[in-house]
Amino acid sequence: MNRIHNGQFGRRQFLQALGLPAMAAPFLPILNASGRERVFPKRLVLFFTPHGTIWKDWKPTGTEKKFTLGPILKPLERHKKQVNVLAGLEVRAPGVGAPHTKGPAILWTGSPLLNDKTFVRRDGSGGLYFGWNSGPSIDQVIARSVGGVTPYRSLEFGVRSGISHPGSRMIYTGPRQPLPPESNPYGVLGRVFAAGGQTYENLRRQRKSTIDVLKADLDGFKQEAVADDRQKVESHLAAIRSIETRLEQKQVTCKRAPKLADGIDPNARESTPEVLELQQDLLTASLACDVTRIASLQYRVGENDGDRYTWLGIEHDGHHGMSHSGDSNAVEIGNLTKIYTWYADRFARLLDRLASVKEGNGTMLDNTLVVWGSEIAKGNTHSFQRVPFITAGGCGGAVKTGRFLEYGDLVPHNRLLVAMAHAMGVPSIETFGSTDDGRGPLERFL
Amino acid sequence: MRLGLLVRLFPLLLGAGCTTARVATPEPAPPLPIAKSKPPAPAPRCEVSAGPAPLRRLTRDQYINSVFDLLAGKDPSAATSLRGLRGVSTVASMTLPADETVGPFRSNVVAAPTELDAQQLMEASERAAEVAANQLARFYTCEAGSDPAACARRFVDSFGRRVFRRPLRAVESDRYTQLFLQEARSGGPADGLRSVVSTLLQSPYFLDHTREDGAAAAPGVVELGPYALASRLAYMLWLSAPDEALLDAAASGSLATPAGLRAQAERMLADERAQRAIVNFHLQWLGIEDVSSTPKNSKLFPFWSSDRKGGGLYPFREAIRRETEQFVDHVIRHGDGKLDTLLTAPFSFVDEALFGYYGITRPANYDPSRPVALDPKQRAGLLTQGSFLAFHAHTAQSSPVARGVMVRKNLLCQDLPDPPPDVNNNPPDPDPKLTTRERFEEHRLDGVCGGCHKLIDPIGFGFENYDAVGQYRERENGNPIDATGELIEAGDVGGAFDGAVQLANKLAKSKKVQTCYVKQWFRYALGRMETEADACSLKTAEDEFERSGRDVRALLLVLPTTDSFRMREVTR
Repeated sequence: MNRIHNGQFGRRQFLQALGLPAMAAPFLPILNASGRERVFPKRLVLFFTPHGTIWKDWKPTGTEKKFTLGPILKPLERHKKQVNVLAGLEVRAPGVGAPHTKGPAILWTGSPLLNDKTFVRRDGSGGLYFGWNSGPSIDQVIARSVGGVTPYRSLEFGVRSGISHPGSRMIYTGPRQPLPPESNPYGVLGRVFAAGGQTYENLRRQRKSTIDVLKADLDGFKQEAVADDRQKVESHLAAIRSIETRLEQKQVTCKRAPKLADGIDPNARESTPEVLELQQDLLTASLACDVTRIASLQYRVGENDGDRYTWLGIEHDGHHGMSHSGDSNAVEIGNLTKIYTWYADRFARLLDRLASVKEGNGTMLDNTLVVWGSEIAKGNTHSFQRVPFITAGGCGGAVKTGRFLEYGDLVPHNRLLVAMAHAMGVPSIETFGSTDDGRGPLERFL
Repeated sequence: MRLGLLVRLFPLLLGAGCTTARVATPEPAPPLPIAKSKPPAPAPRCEVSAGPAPLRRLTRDQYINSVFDLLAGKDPSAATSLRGLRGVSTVASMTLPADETVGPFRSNVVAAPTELDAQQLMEASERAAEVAANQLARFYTCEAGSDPAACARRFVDSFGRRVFRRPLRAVESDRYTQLFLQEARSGGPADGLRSVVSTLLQSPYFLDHTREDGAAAAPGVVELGPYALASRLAYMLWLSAPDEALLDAAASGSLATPAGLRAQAERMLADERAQRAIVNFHLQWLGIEDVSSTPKNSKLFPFWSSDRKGGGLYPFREAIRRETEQFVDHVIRHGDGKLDTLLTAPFSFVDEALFGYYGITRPANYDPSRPVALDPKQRAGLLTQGSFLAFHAHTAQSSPVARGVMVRKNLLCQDLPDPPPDVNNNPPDPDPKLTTRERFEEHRLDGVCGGCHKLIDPIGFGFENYDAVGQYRERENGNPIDATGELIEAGDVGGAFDGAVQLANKLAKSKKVQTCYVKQWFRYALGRMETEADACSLKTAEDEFERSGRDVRALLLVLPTTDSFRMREVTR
């Protein structure tokens, strides 16, 4: 068996590994240099829920190592030793765009929106013109270093994740280059995991013929395009080539891939909890079977999630509407706490899944860094101060967990993004994004 | 003329001073009055100029309609099979890439296609191709004894021309014919057809708006080729691809002549497919596309979300959306066509579910396809329809800000500066003793907020007679409603008014609104914001619109004749 060099190993070995029946199980254990210890890859998972939190019910009490979780985070109790609660980070959000609009685009990029006239805000509250993101998100930068060995450099999962707009896109490969999440679990399943059988073989053959023709069309199209447009045609061509590459690879057989029943409409509000569960299953399977090492799960949108949480018995108003209630409005604050507690419960279930995959003496969660954030801190002021960040998993020993880390002086969250890169084995990154004038990883985190 | 209409529509109302409106006597729908329109005035003398034409991918609606027209035509079973394209089918529902926006309109001009986009389009195309392959004979025939290669090429050339919106070049014809034959070898012509259809639908020549340059028109300006022009025309007027007749007009050269272009535009506007674009434009212009999925406080407005059917639609919300759709199509394609009517008509298309909402009793001879009269003291045109009022409101209360901003930005085309950073823009908590207006007054009085909110709120206050879902009210929390308002810094439309009906009438007479409405159609048609190079084209269009008495049909017929529509700026 080949050993991993700096957490990487070749595609050929990987494909061979996939061919083995053993790969139907979770990630193939690789022996280290001494031939005894098993080494597992590090993974990064970003998790998003909208509209901040209710601080007083979110913030733990106590000290760094001895603390009590507040009511919102109570569902994380069973993972407490694997979790870090980061209190007091500020997402600096200068420049154009309304808070819910720019929040998602700044969250993982640490960079403001471009000040151009790409978008006009339709309802007008809080902004006029604004552009796309101005920089890449941290996961994509990390993926450039560690993502090349898996079939997918990264996978973006969504749950009713909205239109192509900064308020509903959080992952970016570069300026103006959003990576949309797939909100349809059927799409993920059919694409990423082996359907198998003759039907799939036929489809694969047809797709290869199609791609041959498309590449010829795109080549011709590129010649005719003016210089300004050529980059976009190149991107289209690159997208088609990526699909082609995947067709050449053996499709991943993964016992962890869930079976999906027919009849779930991923666009329907009522299906939301169910789709979230399925997407977590698929995300876990794609990490466990090493389809990718970088994943994100975007639950809904930053820009005004109007969902009514009927499954929590909250029928009278949508989340965004309620989030504007004053601090003294005990009824609505209670309802919001219910929603945020539900988010924590779903986050805990994601951790359950990651922890259910055995890796050596530990679990996949031990080798993963999960980071949960939101586009703002507080709904009724749209504040970006004290945005609630939770991390989970030790990232292969890089992150000390089980701690309540309080930052009293509003540390820019860019330092967390830097720390994430370091934890994932990309220490060359000293600063990330353009909204921070300082440098280095978040203190005490690693 | 409005009085005449009133007399016709309100025989009882006028006599009895009653607030219950009656329906008009059913009459046969008048023929589309386009053919009678006068020829356009000569264009003003102007330098030839046009703005740029960036690469633009079809929007979801454009994609869906194009595929639908290509494959379903008038065939009902194909139509049913294709419905999954709309993303409302239950099983493995199709996902298409999400759209970007330009101004109030959907247009994909910035972000490049990603792998996921390409994957989703691949899967959608495969599904559409399956529909075609299952109905092989509708698309492909080959007489016994004839050369299969010739049959394949015939199909590729004729179907490909519709998909690419231009004839296939020889090299493309070869490429696709070869694909057909290669796939047909193992599975017969159905397999060949499936692959060809699926691939054509993923080609950039389908997914991106057609680019084809014609002759140089002036330094730095080039005419569009006839097929690019046909494509622009079809997506503007049909929200779909050109049909055979339009492609024929491009091929014959007649589209390149002013008379030929106008003849096609007139034909297309009279076609049912024009409804799609007219509806699509107005829903986006008024920002109400998503009215069916906007939630409301269910304690206050239980009807808003009641009786949801299996398909996932809320009947009440669908009814107010459909009202606006029917209304704009009726006024523009079957009525007098006037912007004035869109903004002030005291009638609408009222579903039975909306009788209570609009405070009317079921009219005698009720026919949902005919206009129903509303109380003209309460309702006047689009801005007083449920869809506009309910969407631009909070879940439990009205929103003078949202409504004011829509008028300022989308009807007057005026920009508003950003609010200061870190401003608390909560709506004030409902106070059972105060009206919404009283609670929002702070905005205007506050030194920081007042600078802009004086531009917004006094317009929005004019809509205070309508609650969070758009129901008419004269009191709120026991206090009488004050719906007086004022437009400041608004040119010819400036000044005081009382209530939304007066506001609507002011707007309908405004030159500023006229200019803005022309500009919005321009943005919709070209999928981009206007530039200085478009000034002359905008003026040509507006002059003709004004000359016609603000007949939207005249605008839709003149816009395609302008330089900006027929040409593009030569960019790098």
